[in-house]
Amino acid sequence: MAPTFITDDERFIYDRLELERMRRAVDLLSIQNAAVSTVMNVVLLLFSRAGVIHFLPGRQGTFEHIIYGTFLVIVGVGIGPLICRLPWFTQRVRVYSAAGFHAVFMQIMVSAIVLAYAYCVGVDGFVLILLASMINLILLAGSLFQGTGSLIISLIGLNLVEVVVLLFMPAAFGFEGFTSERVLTLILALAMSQAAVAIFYYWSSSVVRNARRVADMQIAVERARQLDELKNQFISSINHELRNPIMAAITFIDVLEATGDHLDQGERLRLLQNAQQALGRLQTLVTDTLDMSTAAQQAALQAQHVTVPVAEIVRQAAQELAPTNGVLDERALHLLIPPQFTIWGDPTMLFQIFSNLFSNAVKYSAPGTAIDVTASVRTTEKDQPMAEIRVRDYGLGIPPHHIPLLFNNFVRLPRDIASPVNGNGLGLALCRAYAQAMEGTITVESSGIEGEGSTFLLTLPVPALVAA
Amino acid sequence: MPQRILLIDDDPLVLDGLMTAFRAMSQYEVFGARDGIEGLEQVETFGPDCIIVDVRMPHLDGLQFLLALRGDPRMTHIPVVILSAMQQDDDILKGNLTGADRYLIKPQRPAHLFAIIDEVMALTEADRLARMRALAEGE
Repeated sequence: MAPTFITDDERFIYDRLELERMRRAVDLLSIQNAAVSTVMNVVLLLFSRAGVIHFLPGRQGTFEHIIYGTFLVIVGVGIGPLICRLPWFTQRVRVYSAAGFHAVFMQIMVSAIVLAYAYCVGVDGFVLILLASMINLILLAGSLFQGTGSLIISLIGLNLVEVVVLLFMPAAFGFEGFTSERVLTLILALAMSQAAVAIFYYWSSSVVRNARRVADMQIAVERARQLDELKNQFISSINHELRNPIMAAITFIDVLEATGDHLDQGERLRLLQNAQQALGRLQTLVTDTLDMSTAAQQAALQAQHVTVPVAEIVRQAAQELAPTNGVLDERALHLLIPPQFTIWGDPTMLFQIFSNLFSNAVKYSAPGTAIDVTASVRTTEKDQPMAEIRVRDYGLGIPPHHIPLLFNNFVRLPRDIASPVNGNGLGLALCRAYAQAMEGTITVESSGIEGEGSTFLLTLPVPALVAA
Repeated sequence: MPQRILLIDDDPLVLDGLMTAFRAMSQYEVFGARDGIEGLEQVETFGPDCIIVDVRMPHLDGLQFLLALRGDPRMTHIPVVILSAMQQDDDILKGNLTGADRYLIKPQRPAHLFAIIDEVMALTEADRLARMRALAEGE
């Protein structure tokens, strides 16, 4: 089961591992199905030769039957694992359809075997198939998703029902020539196959259980690895961002010290301003870093909860960006928010979120591309209306495998650390802290393909009046 | 004739600072480039006597730049100093193995840079070979 306290990022990893572990279950079930079916074929052949089970009247089982039967089984059960490995669809679709296919295939196989028994011994096959199918379906579902205890109990229960039905069926269906010998043969065959199935599913589910244990360990390892990666990203981004401005400031000051008297007024001023600019960058980084450690808690405590006109805030955030960067005016800012659209939250925080998102959009997309801002209200599963605001750019996008860590402190994409675009990896972490303080969320979707850009989705509560 | 130094750094403030410092405080003639590609073009155009290069840069980073430089027989003799913010042992080893004559971690004061430049320009082919051998043995 999923650990109780996990972050969104870990849930993402956990989902992937859950799928991976189901895929493994499908693989293992298939291998074991093939193995058990082969063993059962051999046993049935031996029984048939010894005269315990009668196949079609006047015919005995042959070795060719085993070979054909085993071949069919292996081909059949092989399709599940094959589906898991198709290059199309998402992994979720593949794994679930493989498990579904496997269940259906086993269903058909069991039905065919039971039908053959029924034909040989002269019992109504339909009832048997129904019974066997029920057992099989529960077993299959159980082995894939649940433990074994409940399965063994249901198996015993269903076998009992089966025996009772078999004993009384001849009278009910008016069969002639139903001998105790035939009933015994039938029960023997069924009990044998069920026992084999039970043993095999017990194995399978212990295998699945083990796979889960392994997956839990993998999660722990993955967590440690991600922490390590975060630490490395932190070190490399903070290194870059700290050392460069120090270097610049030292250089300018050294120049001033060495040549200050001979420089003309304008040049001296330029050097001073550059040194100041470098120190300013340092100051921002240090302030942000220190703020960040407490920002999340403080934000939650200080958040106002008032009705905020979204379009107004978006306009302010866009205006703030324009004079400093002089870039936003080159962009088409498509503001598709109705003037009366409001959310319930903190205007300053919302402003901060938008200015961060806009400045990112401007940093990571080419001049002249558009930035779209749209808003809508969606009703959640809990019947609660939430405002959904999307900020979309058409820039570089974010590689999907980098998305899980994106909203953490000090995370910058490797691509960006090696680029002239400055940043400290705190903007999105702040956005997330603010969104959570307003009882909302922020997520991102991106294909990571340049030009398709990314869409940041901000989900926030709407004012109670609007909700009503 | 003054010796020519090529500075390659993607941070505009750092590059501007270094160029100003070199012009004001040294006898070197100095050129600047903002990434490895521009750096290679400058090498072709000006034929510098020594290169100071950052590692993390867009397009072509410092290590790739070094590889290209060391792979070209006409340029392979030019002394190169890496000046980077990256300070982990791995990074330093990588830089040295790629063919840098010195690996400096930012920040560095201009006066120290001048001293290092004089030092690496005095290196002979034999010195370099000995250094590479020591590195390889240290592995």
